[in-house]
Amino acid sequence: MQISRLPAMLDQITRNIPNTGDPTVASVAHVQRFWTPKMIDEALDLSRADPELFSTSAQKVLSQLAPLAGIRDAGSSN
Amino acid sequence: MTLTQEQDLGTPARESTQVVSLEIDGQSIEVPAGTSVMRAAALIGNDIPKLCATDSLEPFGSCRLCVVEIDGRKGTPASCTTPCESGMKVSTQSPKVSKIRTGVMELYISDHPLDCLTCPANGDCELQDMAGIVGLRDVRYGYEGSNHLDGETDDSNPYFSFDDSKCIACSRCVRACEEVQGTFALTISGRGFNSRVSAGAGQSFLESDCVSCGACVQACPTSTLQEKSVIEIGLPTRSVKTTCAYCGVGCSFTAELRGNELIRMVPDKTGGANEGHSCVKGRFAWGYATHEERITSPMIRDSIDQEWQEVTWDEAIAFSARRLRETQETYGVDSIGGITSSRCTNEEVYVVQKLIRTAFGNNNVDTCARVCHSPTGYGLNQTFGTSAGTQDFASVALADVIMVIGANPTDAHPVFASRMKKRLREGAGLIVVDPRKIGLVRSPHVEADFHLPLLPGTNVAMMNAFGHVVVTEGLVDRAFVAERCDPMSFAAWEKFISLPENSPEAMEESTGVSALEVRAAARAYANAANGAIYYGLGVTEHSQGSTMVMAMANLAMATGNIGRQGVGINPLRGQNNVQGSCDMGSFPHEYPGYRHVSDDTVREAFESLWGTPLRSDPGMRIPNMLDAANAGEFKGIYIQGEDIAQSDPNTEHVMSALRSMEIVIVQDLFLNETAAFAHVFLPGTSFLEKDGTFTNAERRINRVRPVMPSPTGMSEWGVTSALAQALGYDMHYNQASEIMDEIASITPTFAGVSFALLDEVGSVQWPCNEANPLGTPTMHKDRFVRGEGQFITTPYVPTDERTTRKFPLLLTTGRVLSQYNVGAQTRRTANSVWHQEDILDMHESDAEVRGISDGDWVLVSSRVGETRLRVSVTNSTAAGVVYTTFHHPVSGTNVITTDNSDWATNCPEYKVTAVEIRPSVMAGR
Repeated sequence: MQISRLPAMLDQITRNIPNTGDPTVASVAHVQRFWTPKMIDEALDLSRADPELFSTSAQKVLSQLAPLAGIRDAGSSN
Repeated sequence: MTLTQEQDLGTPARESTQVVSLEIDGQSIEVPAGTSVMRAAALIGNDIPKLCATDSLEPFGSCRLCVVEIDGRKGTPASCTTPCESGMKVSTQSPKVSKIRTGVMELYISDHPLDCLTCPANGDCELQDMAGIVGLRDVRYGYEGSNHLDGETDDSNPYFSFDDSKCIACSRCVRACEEVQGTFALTISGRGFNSRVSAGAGQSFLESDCVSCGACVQACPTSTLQEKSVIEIGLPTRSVKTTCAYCGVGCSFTAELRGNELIRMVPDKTGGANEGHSCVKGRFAWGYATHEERITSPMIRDSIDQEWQEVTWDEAIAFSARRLRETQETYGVDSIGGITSSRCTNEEVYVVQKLIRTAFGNNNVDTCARVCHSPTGYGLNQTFGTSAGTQDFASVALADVIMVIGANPTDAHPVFASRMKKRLREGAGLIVVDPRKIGLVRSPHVEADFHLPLLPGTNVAMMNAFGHVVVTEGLVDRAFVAERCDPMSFAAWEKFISLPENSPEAMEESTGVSALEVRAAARAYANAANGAIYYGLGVTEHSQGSTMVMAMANLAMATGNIGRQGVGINPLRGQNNVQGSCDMGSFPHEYPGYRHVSDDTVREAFESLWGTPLRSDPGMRIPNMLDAANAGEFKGIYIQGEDIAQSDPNTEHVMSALRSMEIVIVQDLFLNETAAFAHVFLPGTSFLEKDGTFTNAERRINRVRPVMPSPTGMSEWGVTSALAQALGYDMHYNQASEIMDEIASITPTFAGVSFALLDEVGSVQWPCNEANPLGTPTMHKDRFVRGEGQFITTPYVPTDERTTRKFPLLLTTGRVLSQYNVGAQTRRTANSVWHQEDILDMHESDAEVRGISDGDWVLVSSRVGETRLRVSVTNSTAAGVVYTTFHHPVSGTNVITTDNSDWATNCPEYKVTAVEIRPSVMAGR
C-alpha cells in the first residue's frame, strides 16, 4: 500500500486557493468540483485515523466536507 | 512549386483605405493603393510572365521578365516593383516587351541544363513554363553556359537537394528564408555571373543554420531546390487538403500523392493557421505513417509476460470487452477508465469520452492535456469564463510589445514563430521570460529588449512583480477595468498586488532577476499600445501553473490588453489537438463544452441524447488513476494514442501502476513504452488516414481528410464504437461527419459546425453560434464570456521541490525543433539526423566544478530516480539550471521528474526537478 498523496494534495490546495473570500470555503468548493467522492471519503477516513497527517488548514476543509460526504454516493446513479 | 495550380498573383496583397483606378490592357480595375501592377494585372486574369516574383514574397525586380509599358513613362518598368497609380494605362503585352522577355529568357536558358525530359521538375517548372509563354524558339548564345552547368549538387539535407546547375539566381529561396521563415540561413555569394545561392559560409545545407522548413523549396521556380521524394518517385498526380498532426499550430497542407503513395506535403496558402508556411516536421516528417514498425493488426495476450498474438478485430474487441466487464464485476464500476489523446481527432476523442461515460458507467476519463495545458483551461475559465486562448495567430502582426513566457516558439511552434519574428523585425518590442536563452532572445534581426532569466518555479513571483509595477506606477487602464471587469475583484487584486511583498525588489531573491530589469519590462508591456502575451508549458507545468495563468490574465485585464487584435493571452498548445481534446469533454469533471457533470440540466441533455443515465460525480484524473492502481483499486484502462510510460512523470510510479492492472488497452501506431504493459493492442490510424477535425491553439477547427486508406481496416472511432457495442451500449455512426453533427447538436460553442461547412469555408474558430456562425477570431471583444472579467489574487507559493545540498541544481525540460513529444513519430523519420539523443545542457561553471566536459556522460539523480545523459556545456542555461528533452525513451528523462503537480489541476511539475549531476563512465541507461 502506497502512502496516500491526498493529505499533501489537500494542503497544497489550501495554500494556493485564491484568498478573495474564506479560503476554507473556497477549498471545499474546489475539492467538491474536482475530487471523486471516493477520494473525499478516503481523505476523511485518513483524517479520522490520523488527523496529524493533515495540515491545520486541510483539517478545516475536511471538517466542512464531512457532513456532505454521504450525499454523493459513488456509483449510485448507474 | 506544387501540383495544385493555385493562381500566383506575383506580389503580396496590400491593405489600404485608399483605392486607385487604372487601366490594364484596356480593362479598368480598382485596387488598394500600393498594389503592384503585376498583381493588378493578375487580378483581371492577365498573368504577366515572371520568375523572381511570387505572391508570398516582397517584389525584388531582378529577373526583368515582367516588364510592361506604361503610357507617359519612359522605358519598360518591372511590373512587380511598380505600384499602381490612378489614371495609369498599362500594356502588359507589346512587341517591345515581348522582345525584351524573349531576350531575357535566352540568357537564362543559355546557362541552364537542357535536360527537361529527365528533370524531376518536368511539368512542374516555372522556367519551363515561362520559356513557353514568351515563345522562346532559339538561343543565340548557345547552350553550353559556362557559369552554372558544372554546379555541384548538395544532397546533405535528408529531405531536399540543391542542384546548383539549375539555379537561375532569382533569390526567391534567399528571400523566402528571410521574409517567410526569418532564419536568414541563405545568401547569394559572388557577383554577376558568379552569383551562387549559398547556405552559410561555404557550408552544406545540413551544416548551415537552415531549419529545413521547406520555404526555399516551395519558392524555387526550377528544380534547383527539390524534394528528394519527387526526385526518387516522380511528380504526384492527385492531392488532398488536410491538417498537420504535430504541434498546436495546426498547419493546413495539401498532401500530394501518386495513387496511395504520398510524395510530398505542400503547405496550403489558404490555410488560416499557416498561410502557406511550414516547418520541418509537418513539411517532411510524415514517413512514420508507413514505417516498418507500424502495427496494423490487433493483438492480445492474457498477461504481459506472454508474446503478442495477432487476432481479428472482432476477437480483440470481444476480448477487451470481456476483460473490462470482468474487472468491473470484481473490483467495481469505478475500477476502469480511459485516456483520450490530443493526437486524435475531435470525433475520435468525443466517442472515447462517450464510451467511458456510457458503457463504462463512470467519469474516469482524462486526456493528455492533463500533463500540459490543463492549467490553461482552469485559469482562463476562472478569469475570462472560457478555457481557450483569446486571439487568432494573425493577431501577432498588430502587437507592439510581445511577451513570451515559458515558451520556445522557434523550436516548438516554428510556423507561428515565423509570424512573430516578422512582427519583431518590423519593430515590435520583445520581452522573454524564461530560464533559458531561447532562440528568440537573439537571432538574425531579432533581439529581445528584455530577457528575464528567472529561476524555474518562480513564474508567479515574476508576474506578481509585473502587476505590482503596473498598479503602483499608475499604469492601470482604469477605463477598461471600470467598463469590463468585476470591480470588487479588481479592488481585492489591486490591494493584494500593491503589497510590498509583491514588488520586484522583494521578489528579486526568489526570481534571481534584477528588480530594475523587471520594472523596465513591466513598463514596456503596460505602456504598449498593444501588449500581447504568448506562453507555453513553461507556464503550466508547475505547482502553481494555474495560478500563473490567472496572474497573466490579471495583468492583461489591468492593462486593457484584451478584446481586440494585437493583444491577449495566448497559450501555445503542445500537441495539434490539445484544444480540441479538451473541448470534447475529456476531463473527468466536464462534458463537451466545459460543462460540469453535476449540472443537472446539462447532464439530462446528455442522458437524453445518449439514451442512458449518467453519473453526476467527477471521475479520476490520470494521476488519481495511477495512484488508485498502485493502491490496488484501479484495474483497467483504455489508452488512446498516448504513451504514459514515457511521457508522464515519475516513470517508475507509472510503470508499477500499469503493471498492476488486469486490462490495459493501448490504441496506437507503434508498440510504444506503454504497450509493454498492455493486454490488448488496437492499431490506430495515422493522420493521413483519419477523417475528422482538429482544433488548434487559436480555436480553429480544421478538416483532417483521409489521404490514403488505413492499413488497419478500421477507423479509430469505429473501433471505439465497436467496443461500446460489445459492452452493451448501442453506439453507432456510419461516418465521422455524424459524430461532428452530434457534437454540434449538444455543444453550444460548436453550433452549426459540420464537415459540410468546413469543406465550404475552410475553417472556423469557435465559438460558433447564431451571432457568429463562421466563428470568432478574437474573443471577449465587447464583454467577457463570463460577463465581467474576474481578477483573482495570486499569492506566490514556492514549490515544494527545492534545491538541497544533495540535489543542488534545478532541471527543466523541453523540446527541440526536429523532434516531437515522446518522439514516437519523429524518431521514425530522417529528423533523427538532427537529434539522435537527448542531451543535458549545463552551464560551464556547473560543469567545471564537477569536472565535467562537453560530450561527457553524466549520472542525473533526483529524489525519485536517476538516468544517464550526455552533456553539452553551454551558456544558454543559467548557472544552477540544467535542461534536457524527453524525445528518446532510452534517456528516461521522466524517470527523474517527480510527482509534484499543479495545485488546481494536477498538471505535473516537469519544469522543476532538483537534481545532482555526477560524471559517469557508462553510456546509456
